[in-house]
Amino acid sequence: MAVMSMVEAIRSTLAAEMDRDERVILLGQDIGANGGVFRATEHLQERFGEDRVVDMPLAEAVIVGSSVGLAASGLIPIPELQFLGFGSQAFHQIEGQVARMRARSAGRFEMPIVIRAPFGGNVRTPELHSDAHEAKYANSPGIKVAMPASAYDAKGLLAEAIRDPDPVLFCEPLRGYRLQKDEVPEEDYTVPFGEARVLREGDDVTLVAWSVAVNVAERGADLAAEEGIACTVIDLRTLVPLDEQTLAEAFARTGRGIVVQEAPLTAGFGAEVVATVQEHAFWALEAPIGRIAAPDVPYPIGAIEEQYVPGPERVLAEIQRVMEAA
Amino acid sequence: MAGSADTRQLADGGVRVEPPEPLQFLAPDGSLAQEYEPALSDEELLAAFRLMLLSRATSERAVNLQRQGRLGTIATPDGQEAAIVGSVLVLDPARDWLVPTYREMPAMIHMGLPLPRFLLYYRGHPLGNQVPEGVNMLPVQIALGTQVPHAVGLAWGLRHQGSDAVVLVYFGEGASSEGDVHEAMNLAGVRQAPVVFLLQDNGWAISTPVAQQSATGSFALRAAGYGFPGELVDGNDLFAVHDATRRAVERARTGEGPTLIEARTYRLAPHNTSDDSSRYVDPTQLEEARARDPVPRLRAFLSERGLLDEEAERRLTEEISEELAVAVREMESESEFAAEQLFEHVYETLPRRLDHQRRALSEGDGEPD
Amino acid sequence: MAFDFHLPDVFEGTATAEIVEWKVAVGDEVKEDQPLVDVETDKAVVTIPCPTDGVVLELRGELGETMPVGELLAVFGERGELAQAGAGAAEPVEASAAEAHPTRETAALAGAPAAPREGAGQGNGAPVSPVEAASAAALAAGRPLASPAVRKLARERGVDLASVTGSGPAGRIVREDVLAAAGPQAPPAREAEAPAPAAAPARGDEVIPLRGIRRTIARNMTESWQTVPHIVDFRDVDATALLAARRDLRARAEADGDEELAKVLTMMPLLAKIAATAALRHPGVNSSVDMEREQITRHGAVHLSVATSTSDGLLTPVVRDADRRSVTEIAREIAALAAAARSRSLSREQLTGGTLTVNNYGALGSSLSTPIIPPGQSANLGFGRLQERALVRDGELVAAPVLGLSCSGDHRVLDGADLASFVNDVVAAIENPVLLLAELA
Repeated sequence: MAVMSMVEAIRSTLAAEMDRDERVILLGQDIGANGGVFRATEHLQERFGEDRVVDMPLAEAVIVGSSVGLAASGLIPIPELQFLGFGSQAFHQIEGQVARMRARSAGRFEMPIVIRAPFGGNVRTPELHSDAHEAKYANSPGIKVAMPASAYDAKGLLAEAIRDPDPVLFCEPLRGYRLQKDEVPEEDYTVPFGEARVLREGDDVTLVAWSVAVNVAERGADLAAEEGIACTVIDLRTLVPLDEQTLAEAFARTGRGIVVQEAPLTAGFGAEVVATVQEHAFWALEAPIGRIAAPDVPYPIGAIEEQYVPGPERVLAEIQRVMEAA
Repeated sequence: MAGSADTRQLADGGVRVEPPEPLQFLAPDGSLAQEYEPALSDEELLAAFRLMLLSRATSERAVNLQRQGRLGTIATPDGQEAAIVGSVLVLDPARDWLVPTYREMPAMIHMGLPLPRFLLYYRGHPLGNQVPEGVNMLPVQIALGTQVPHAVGLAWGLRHQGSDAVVLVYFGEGASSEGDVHEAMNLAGVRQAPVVFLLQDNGWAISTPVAQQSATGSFALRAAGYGFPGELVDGNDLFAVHDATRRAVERARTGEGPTLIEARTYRLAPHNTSDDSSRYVDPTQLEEARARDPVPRLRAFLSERGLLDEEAERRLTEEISEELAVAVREMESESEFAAEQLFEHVYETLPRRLDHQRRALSEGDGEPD
Repeated sequence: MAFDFHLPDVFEGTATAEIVEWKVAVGDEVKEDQPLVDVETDKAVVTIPCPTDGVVLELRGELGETMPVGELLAVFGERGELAQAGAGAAEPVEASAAEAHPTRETAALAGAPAAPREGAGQGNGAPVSPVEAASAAALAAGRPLASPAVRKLARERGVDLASVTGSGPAGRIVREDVLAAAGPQAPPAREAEAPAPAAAPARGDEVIPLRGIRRTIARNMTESWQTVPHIVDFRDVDATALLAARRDLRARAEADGDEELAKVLTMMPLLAKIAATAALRHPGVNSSVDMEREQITRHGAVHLSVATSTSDGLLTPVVRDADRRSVTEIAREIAALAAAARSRSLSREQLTGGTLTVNNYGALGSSLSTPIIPPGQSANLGFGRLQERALVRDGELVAAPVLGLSCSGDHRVLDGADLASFVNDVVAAIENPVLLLAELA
């Protein structure tokens, strides 16, 4: 067992899967000689060759669109969007083609595609590089959405995604690439989709988050613990499929809870979490479910980013508010 | 024979390229250019003619069925039969792949799609776009231009796995304005993908005439920008289309990369059954286009060659009519489906949340647990 | 066989079309795809072809008439059907806008395809729904289930939910549970809708606090009247035969030397037995409805609540298993319960569990009434004053003892016909008590 950062876990998983299955092929901008702008694919081209680690022209729509054809030819393509924000350039191929090809062809063509895309704030990137767009993909039937928050999950969920015959959007947290380190077993394992991870259990309030916000939720929970409030913290791991059961039971046990998301508030995935929780655990709720999110404004420029991205203090304030709600 | 493009240096710098004359062997009156020796045998020619007749007859029948409420909206390839048949005949259906839009009915039939299945799609049935196993074709694509990146990836992927298969992808001049088409052709050039881009310029994108679609003199000129050959042909000349495609497929198969063929033709019918083209098409222009209709053109050639007479064509027409009638009956007999089919084939395994939705829908209460 | 052809949506979203020119006439022999009619939509003039071979039996739509999509346009069939079609042509046909093609429409949920495979994590056996799982989790954590509104009510009434047993699904605490737990405590504090402070009493007013039985009755009657839609069946019944029966039973008791029994053999035990017997034949009146669970429970036994007046108010002690006890037993039981009621010594068990109520509102002179059904029951059979009145019997005007009868029913459970059937049986047994022998075990 080794302690790895998320980017190391991702890189080693890509290599392991490419070893395991010769149909796996990576494509994206700067992933070959450069090893990816975040080094997620470092040395992979040396190891597997230019035919399996392919540097693509600067064209997101065809990076995803050609993956449809590669999949139809029998390969397992893993296209990379250099940043999830630029996925918008390929959105119609993702939502209208990748996600629908199986249903459109009534099963004749399956799309075992994993679209990898980093995102997330507090790294002072230029415009559009940090945007959290996961809700738009969660609302696109036919594609799964995985959002690991730990190195362990990065490996397990990525391996699961690559082996899944269905398409997966795999969102990687920029900040977590290097800063999130935890123990990752060397042997082969997968983490199933649709199973949330409970990081800690506490009777007073449930915190729900995914990806970059999990760390924020955890630190918020630490602050709350100092004030004698015991939190349950849940990492969703996958938005689609969603682990409704774990969510409902945790909220039912605590009776109070909040969602923490980095994306802007309105119509973010947190709204889906709240709707689902109140559907199943309504009778057990003591207080309205809180949401911590970025405000409904365009992602700001670097210097003001701290005011925008939710931090642990805001989480604590919301926890207190929810605890005091009559 | 076609000439070459005329490249002119401009006085203020820069270069302007004028397109050549389109490649043509078979004139509108059915006379064949002297220097051209048909690359298709008599049997192949008659099969091509039959396919074109089947296409034309299916169009007519389909429009009637739509007007009776038995089919949904359909776009027919009237006037484009030679551009489609001439090109698809080059493919080996057992090995090569077709990537269509929605208009290329005779190409789909040639690749092995059963006619009832084609009609079932336009019926609006959930299985209508299920291409049967063994038929090398991607499904009908409605989002214009999106299939061109698919075609490039498919060609690339097949070659990567050691196949010498070639992919033939169709799209219109209107669709070629989409960014996807540019991205796809650019990638094809970089990867030397074994793909043949068959652009049908039929004069109209619904009501947008070519002149408003692009300022280029010929869409085939774009190929130069992507680093591979482009060729302009008379799309209503079966032989010209066939010739250009044959060379392009050969090029692709031997690893020399893609080709862009522009088949210049004309859309003789409205865009689809919801379109009233009399609102924007000049009747005189339409009449002139009819004079270049590929079906009478080939008929004239075949008669002149002694390969076809009235009796033979009458028999063909009857055969085709019967084939269509059988296909329509079969299509209509397959038309039942259940609401549960909404949930089949979305994922390989239905996630629990979706399974709840499926059960709620089929139990009719529409309520969550 | 006639083939109905409805106007199709020819242009993606056409709502109506105007008839421009018919290409065929009634009686014409036509072929499929042959032009049928030219119609004009807001987009263009379109020719609609014949959908089938056959003879044109009917053509609907005048030239220039605008028809909605889905309306019957033409009927095709065989030559022999021409005459019939003509006869029926005058009748208007319902437009069915949903039909694109008449005989081959794909609407029905015909035949299930292969069932989708189980989702991940469902395990073996029937899946537990997330709602059930969540409720169980809350209870396991010692947390009560209650809606926000109920929680608010509990707060206002000072009720600790943890001490309340919920009567709702999965042990959920409902409003009634909180109200029952609140019981005879101080009236709600800080009630937002608290009425304005009462004006100083005017001359002659006496203010009596609502307490005890009076308050319970007030609350129960309010709840019943507000939630139960009452219907009432009123009858005037010829009690001649029943009076004769009572006389004979009394005489027998006296002959046995049982003065006690003779005294308690009033009309009530007889009527109670008649009611219990009839209730077995009409289970709807002996039932309870649960609107939250949306179910009706038909009780197997008839436990009669017998309305009894006391100085403090009306009580309804219960004669259990009245359907299985004799008139004699019932008579003694009612007397005992009444005595206990007057001495305020009725136990809680004796006051609860009733499934049907009988009451004698006529004691003070009323002939008809609108009995209020106690919460948890579905009917209340009341008897009014016994009075000598004019009756027509076999065409002749006679004087007879007439008993007023008013039976209330819960219209959520009983329709008028259901209630009337029950009352008919009661009336029949009153007019001819021998009918009770049919049920005598």
